[in-house]
Amino acid sequence: MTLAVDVKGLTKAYPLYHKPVHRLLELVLPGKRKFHEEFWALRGIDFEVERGECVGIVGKNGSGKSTLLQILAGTLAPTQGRVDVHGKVAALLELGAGFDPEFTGRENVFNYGMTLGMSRREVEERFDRILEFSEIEDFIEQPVKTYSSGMFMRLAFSVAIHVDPEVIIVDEALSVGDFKFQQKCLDRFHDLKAEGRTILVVSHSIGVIQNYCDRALWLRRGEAVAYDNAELVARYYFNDFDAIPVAVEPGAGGDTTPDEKPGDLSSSAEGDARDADLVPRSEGFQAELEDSEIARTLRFVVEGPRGPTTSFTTNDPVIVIWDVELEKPLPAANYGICFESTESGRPLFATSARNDGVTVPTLEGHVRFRFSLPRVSLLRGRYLLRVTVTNERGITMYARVNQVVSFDHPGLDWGIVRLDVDYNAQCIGDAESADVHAELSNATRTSAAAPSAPNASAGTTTNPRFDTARESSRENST
Amino acid sequence: MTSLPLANTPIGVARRLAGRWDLTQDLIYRELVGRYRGSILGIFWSLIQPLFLLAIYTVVFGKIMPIRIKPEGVDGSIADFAIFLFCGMITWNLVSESIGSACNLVVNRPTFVKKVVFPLEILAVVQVGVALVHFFFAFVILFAAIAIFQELHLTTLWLPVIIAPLAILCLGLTWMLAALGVFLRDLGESIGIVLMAGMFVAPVFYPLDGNLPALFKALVLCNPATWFIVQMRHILTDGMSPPLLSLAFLWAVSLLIAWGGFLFFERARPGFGDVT
Repeated sequence: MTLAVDVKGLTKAYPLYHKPVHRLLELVLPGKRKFHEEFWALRGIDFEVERGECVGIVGKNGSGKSTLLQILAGTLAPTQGRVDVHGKVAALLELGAGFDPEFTGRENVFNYGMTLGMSRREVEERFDRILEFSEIEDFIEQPVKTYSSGMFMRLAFSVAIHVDPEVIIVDEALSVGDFKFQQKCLDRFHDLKAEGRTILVVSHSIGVIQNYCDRALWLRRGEAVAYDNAELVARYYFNDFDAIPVAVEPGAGGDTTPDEKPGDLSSSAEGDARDADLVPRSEGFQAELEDSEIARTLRFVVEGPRGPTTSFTTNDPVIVIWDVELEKPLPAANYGICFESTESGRPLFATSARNDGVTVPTLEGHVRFRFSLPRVSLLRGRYLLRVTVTNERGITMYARVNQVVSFDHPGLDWGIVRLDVDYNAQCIGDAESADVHAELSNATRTSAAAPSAPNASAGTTTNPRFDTARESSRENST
Repeated sequence: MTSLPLANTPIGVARRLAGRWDLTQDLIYRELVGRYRGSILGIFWSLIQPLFLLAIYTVVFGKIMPIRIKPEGVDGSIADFAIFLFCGMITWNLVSESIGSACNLVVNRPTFVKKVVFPLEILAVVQVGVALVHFFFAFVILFAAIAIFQELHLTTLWLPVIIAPLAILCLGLTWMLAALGVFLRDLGESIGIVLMAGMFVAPVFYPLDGNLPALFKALVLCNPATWFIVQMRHILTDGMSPPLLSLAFLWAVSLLIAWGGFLFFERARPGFGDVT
């Protein structure tokens, strides 16, 4: 069994120097005098990666993921501990770093390829394949400053994966780009993995972690929370979303601290009953902000019927208020909202203003987005509520907020979403059944109309309470 | 760490640099062509600038305020003075171009430090390489001028042997300054002043002879560029071969400084990521 990456007791303290010269003094002066204060970006990380394995790294912003990758790539030195990376490394810490906008695509391919360690001849040999993969044949002789960001990224990525590395390190490089190209990159990863190459990838996509990684490392505040089967780690991570409860009310109990959970993997797939225990009603979850250079979140509030909260009851109204500061006007932006399953990462519902035919004006300066959902019929569980501001086509993301919300539901109906049901049971025994049917049917509908909408005409059911029905379903299920 | 244990012997260093020659070449090309991309005259700008400076200096120092100390053998012809000046200027330019922006070499490229695994050591080679190419362009003009206004000497063939140690010396200093520049941000500013003063404390505008005040002459002799400028004039215009002993000594010193500079750069490198 050969190890591709072997990390033992890795610690990185970012020295906070008041002046750069202090760093020099430390390097040059003999002895171990310190001229700095320390910020611990990574503490005592141990993990090993076998050849041909794909390892995902998850964690909130600032948890040390990028630092870890930079150390693995060799651009940062560890403070303590040992890092062994065996074989040729290609690090995609930032796609296209080193591209010169004035030069043509072809010239940049050569330069970037050589930067990544290929010789001129090797780039020449692989040039056709690189070009084919990038799908920008027609523009290869144009300066890259004329490229769209998608083209730019495709070209950079394409070069990087043709370096023939033994170890590939990818830092969120896939978070941009359209769906089709992302898929292509992931397929390529799959092939590379099949060829026995080792891949380390930071991703915020549960799909990538679960479908493409063997193991996953979960970092929180520079420490490894778990390093285990990707499927399980991802489930726990996305379920928890690194949430440090911000407002645990007395009585909520501290029995769901994330550290304990990975040890409890055996009971992971038991569904709703377990989930119910994991969702103390009054627990608050912290929103995760993902800002860009263009947009910065100023305020993010989720409100239920009784003010700001992250705990809801099925059929509650949900209002999301999101204040964003924009660095430059966005003439063709779009904004949307999405609910994802924290279990599978699968979107349960996603839409955007443009999708719903809402005109989006030019956004600039301080913008307040307001999403008002009069009735959210999600059943008991935790969901990832996500709001985004993107460009028109949803390809470039300007800002995003991820917020875990929990829903509770007093009934025993189960699944993901509460759908309204009209119940009707009758015994049809005699010849006048047709007339009776019509009468009864009308009567049922009218009585089911919600109290909040007394004027609703027959045939529209708005908010029925199915007390009788629930009673019967409880009997059935027990 | 991620690479093999470094062969830091001089041969190991040379081998490492040679291994990246493809990239080095490409980056030199980039520097040369990229700087002028989009301009009509393109790379000719790198000729026009020194020529213009030469014209200005010739007029100012040769005509408007004739230098008190006439170089020996220069009988006042403006062409002779221009050639005399150009010999010194292009040699000094090689030094100042290499070292001038050395401090910002690494600092200005944070993405190379943090975002790609980039062989940072070749940046210095690129810098000196570009300066050498510019030197070569200028030398072609100088050569033509000597051919037209004076006579060519066989000793011109010594040129590579004299310029090589100067370039190697510059390389070593560039490594050193590039590494220091990351930590000492003041250095970038001060180096410009030092180089400006250095040009006048080198026999660029005046000959190194008995007419110089003794104290000043001692100062000029301390300038490492002095020897090279003097020898350049000897081989190009006087037909004199360089003193072999000094030449061998300077080769040795240059190689040592280059090696030391490289080691210093490597030693400081782990800290780059922390402060860029």
